[in-house]
Amino acid sequence: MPPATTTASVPMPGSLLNHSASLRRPFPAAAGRLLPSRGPRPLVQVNSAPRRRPATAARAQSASAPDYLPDSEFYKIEAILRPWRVSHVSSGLLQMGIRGVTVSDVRGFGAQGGSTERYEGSEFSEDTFIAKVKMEIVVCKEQVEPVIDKIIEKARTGEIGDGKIFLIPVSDVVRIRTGERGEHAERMTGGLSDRLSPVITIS
Amino acid sequence: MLVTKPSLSLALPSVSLPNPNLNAGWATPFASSRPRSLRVSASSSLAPQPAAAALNRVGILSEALPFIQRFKGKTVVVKYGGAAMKSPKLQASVIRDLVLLSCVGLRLVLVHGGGPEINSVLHRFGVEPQFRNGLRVTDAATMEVVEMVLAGKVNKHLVSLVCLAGATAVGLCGKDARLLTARPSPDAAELGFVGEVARVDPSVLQPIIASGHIPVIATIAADKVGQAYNINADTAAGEIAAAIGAEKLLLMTDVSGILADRDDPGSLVKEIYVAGVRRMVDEGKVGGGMIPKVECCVRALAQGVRTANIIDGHVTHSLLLEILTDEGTGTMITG
Repeated sequence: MPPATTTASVPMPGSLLNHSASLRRPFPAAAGRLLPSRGPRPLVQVNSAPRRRPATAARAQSASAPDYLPDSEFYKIEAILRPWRVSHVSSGLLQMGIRGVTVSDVRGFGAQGGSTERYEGSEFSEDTFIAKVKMEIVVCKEQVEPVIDKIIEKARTGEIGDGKIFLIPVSDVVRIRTGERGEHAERMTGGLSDRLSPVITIS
Repeated sequence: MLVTKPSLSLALPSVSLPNPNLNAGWATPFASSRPRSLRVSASSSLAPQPAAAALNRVGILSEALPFIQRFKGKTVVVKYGGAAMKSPKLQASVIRDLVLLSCVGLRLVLVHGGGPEINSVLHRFGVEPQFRNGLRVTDAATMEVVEMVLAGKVNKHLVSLVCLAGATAVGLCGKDARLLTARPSPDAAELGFVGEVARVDPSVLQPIIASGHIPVIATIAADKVGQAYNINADTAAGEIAAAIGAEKLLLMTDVSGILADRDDPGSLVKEIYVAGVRRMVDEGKVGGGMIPKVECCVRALAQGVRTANIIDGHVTHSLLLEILTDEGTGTMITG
């Protein structure tokens, strides 16, 4: 069920809004597009600067046409990282209580306006794909910002090629083994949710 | 090694043994003052014990085992330069350390600079060295001499030193097998034929290392049309380390490492993360000459090298200290 039916006035945390109206799209996934879609990444881009909800809410209200703002209980954090940083990042995530992560090997390149990325000593421009790793984590809304901060802290080197993080709203989470849906399915015992709110009421 | 006087060999097992260098006259008064109870224990262990120095030596070797195991089969790139290359005594000691590390199973790659030699040879050729803002201007005539000195004289001298010390070395420059491909650096207009690393093709290094030789690399490289460039040895060492997937990059310099307070030589930073060292550079705590070395370390770390160290070439056995001890020496920068 697309979460578009819920109120569109509550913006997604940190989402960059394209205020030039007419972005009524049939699919709830993409709310704004700054870059031309390049292959497997037609996703919302997260702007790390504005994270205060009230400010973005005010901006949203002032838009002439009602933009669609996906809001959801869960978000998938998709991080494209350098392969040798993954163990660093995942141990950092484990320390903070994030216990479910999916990792896949991908190749990619992102142009940086003329500067080149160095990989294995050589400089690479736009025509070669470099090996990266995609890390996907689905968490509930409150945990999104801490996870993003932790990934950036562990993966950042300051050189071109550090990667990007994308935030995708997820409409539902289902645990296959038990059939649980929603918050119960997302919650992992001993994880961050347990640390933040140690009392679990299971009906 | 047994003590010379046979009567003493039974009496000494549970006490620290006299140094074999001492003459036998020392040992006698020692034995006579020993309490009787030791005689009892002496008779129970009849095996003669080795002397203290030998025990010491093998004890230290045994302590080095975990480090040897950690680094066995791993590749380490050492950038050799500065004072350690100028003084023959230090040179011999460094080469010896390199051969030792190679014997215990490390795969070494040696990259060298060689600025001081260039000036004297330029004089012999009658070429006046020019400098701009403290940096050498490498025009065409100078470039010819630089290539001859670095890839010919310095490189082959180091190769022969390694071979004399018992290992085998192969001397290469960036041009060989297109190991390094250069492109003109941004200030090439003022400084002449000074280049940056555009590509690294490490495929020629694999068979050399696999057959047990140590590659010694001079950082002269050609660009796409064959023009020779001189590349800074620190930068080239970092990119070569990234290209071969090295475990460690060691930059040998003339200073003890990164100092937290430039005026306090005791404030050596022993271990620091990339984020921390970037902060130090931004705050201006890192001296001018150290910044390019730090940048090259960070670039190597960003490309997958596990640790990058800046060590002092003046310290004897600095290489062994860094690799085979916990305390290490100099500054270690990790990811």
